[in-house]
Amino acid sequence: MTRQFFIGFVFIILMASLCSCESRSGVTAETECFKADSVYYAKGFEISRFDDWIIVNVRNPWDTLKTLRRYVLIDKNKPLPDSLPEGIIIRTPVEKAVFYTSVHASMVVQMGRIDAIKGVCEIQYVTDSLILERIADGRIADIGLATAPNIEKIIELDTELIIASPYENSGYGAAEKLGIPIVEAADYMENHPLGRTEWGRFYGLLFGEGERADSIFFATRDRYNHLKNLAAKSEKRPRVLLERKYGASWIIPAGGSYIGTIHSDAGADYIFSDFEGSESVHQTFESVLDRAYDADIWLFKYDTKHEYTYDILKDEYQPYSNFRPFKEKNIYICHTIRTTYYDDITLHPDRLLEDLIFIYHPELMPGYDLRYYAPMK
Amino acid sequence: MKVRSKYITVYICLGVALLLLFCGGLLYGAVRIPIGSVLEIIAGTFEGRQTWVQIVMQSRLPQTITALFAGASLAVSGLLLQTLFKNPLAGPSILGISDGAYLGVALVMIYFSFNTYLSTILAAFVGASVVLLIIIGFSRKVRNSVMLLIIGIMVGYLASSIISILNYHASPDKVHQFVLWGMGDFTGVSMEKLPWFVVFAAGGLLGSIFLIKPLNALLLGESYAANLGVRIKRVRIAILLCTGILTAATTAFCGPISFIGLAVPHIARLLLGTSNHKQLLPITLLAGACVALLCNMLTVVPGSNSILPLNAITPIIGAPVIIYVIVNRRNIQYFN
Repeated sequence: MTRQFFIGFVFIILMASLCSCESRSGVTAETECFKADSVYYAKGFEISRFDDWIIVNVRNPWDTLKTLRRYVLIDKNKPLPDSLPEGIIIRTPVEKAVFYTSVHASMVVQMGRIDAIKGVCEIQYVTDSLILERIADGRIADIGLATAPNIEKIIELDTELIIASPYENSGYGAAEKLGIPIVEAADYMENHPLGRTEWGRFYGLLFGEGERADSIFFATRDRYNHLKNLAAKSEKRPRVLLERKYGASWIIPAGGSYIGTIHSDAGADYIFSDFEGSESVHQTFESVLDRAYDADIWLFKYDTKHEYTYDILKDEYQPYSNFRPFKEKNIYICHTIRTTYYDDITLHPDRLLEDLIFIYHPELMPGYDLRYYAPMK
Repeated sequence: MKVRSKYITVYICLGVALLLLFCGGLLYGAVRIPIGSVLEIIAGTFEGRQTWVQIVMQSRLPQTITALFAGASLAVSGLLLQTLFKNPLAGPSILGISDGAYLGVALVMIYFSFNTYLSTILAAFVGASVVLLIIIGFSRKVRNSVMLLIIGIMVGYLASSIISILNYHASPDKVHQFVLWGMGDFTGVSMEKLPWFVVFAAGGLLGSIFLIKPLNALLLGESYAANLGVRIKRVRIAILLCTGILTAATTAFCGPISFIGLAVPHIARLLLGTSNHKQLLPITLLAGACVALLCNMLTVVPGSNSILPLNAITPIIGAPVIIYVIVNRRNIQYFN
């Protein structure tokens, strides 16, 4: 009796372990199908490929240990699998998308999918000529403000996907309740210029242009690094002051920020590079003057209707004329609406880098024509 | 006699405080400059770091003078409005007059590419006056001062909604400009622009001093004042002109600054315990300048180089005063 019981017990144990082996092997089978794409510069997302879907995890840029969103990209042409992983389901390639920022719309244009752009918010910021043309003839709709988009229009367009720039602790209001997936495009939080570019690979997957987006990224990466190495050869590093006073404060990009990095890569000695982190810092005019009065070069961006000249700048705030670049006429300015500055910098930081290297080290780039910046008159 | 000696004491105290705060504004800033050097810079004998000279003479000095005149102007225009409407809660920001000035400036900024100081001031003045005229028009029909205040608030809302609509169509840099301008700022007036501001502010302040007698008469009630030989219509227009100029000049150069115009006249009344404008007006003027200079210094965060928006500071001083006035309304005899 005891023996029989013992055999029975062993049998049960064996069966149980067999079963568990089977289930474990099931997991293994799934893991084998999975392949993670290498992400080189971006810190905000990761791509994992499975047989029937691709999972993109977007990290919370304000708390990088947490996941902000988990997107499950499933091919539109295949039937929806019975069991699905947890996350926001997006059927790809997306054919009707609405963009809260013109920058992302322009990225999709560069991937050759302008047909998928159905609506854009804040059209006054659009600089891409192809998008402007379609807005003019009504093929792309004006969705209003990014902070208060026209929900009815989004529904009317039969939108499949919304691409939005996330802000900390703020939702998307009524748009969240439409059942339309919202991609939180947090590329602007990346601190390395190529990190932002790399987000294009994620957007490429959404629009069925993964390979094209990859090739744009790799080409940009190689060119950026080539230019960076070129600039590194130059021994002199001009001391650079950026932007100007707005209201009472001068907003200074930190050393570890996107802007800090690209100017340093262009071979400049950015005066405020010791400001740690990546967030911009509000400074008083006097502290900027105290540190940067003897800068070599001063660059700022503007988007006013009028052109900036030395006279207008002095008229705006007379103490600007105390800076050495003002006295020696070494100020370069960039009009962000008349050039395609914002549309380009995400996918093509190499182009901005080129401009900057030419300004800092003209001898390295003979015959180059500035694309975004111009010497102030 | 008691009131008079109190007045002299308060006058002297505020005068000393004003002097100290003015010097404080020149000495204290994000960049640490030794007191000796600042004194030498002002005396013109400093031969060290030229940047320090530029900081003191081109940044701190105009900023401090701007704060002084802006504070005095707003406080005095608040006092004039409170007397005119017989309402302790009247003030340029509450009655929508700042918003009117703001709207005027916004229109000029968007539709005219030329915006000189004069056109900005003029636009702000027209905007402020239109709102004031609307409110005065209503004040003939609506006798209840609280209701009139609500009308003022509504007019202010109307003005700001027009500004929002304008912003919607404005180019991005303009929007940015508005948002920052709306935060209030004493730093925007450079040494070159300063004379413009000072001329208008001083003109308005001087004008208000001539209004002391009729203001006192208005306290007694309009019919009584008329019996005393005060020409009510003329006085109203004169008050309107003064408040318009004072609010317009400060709003055009420093943006809409909240609470100083509303709270400072109350501080002056609490200090003096009288509503006689002969004493109240100079004290309001001095106290306004002191409060603005103090707020200006508080915008610089000690120990760091960063700066806070001015309109984040003014309510810290203004709001408690207003709450105190409302709570103790029955004990404080204002418009008797």
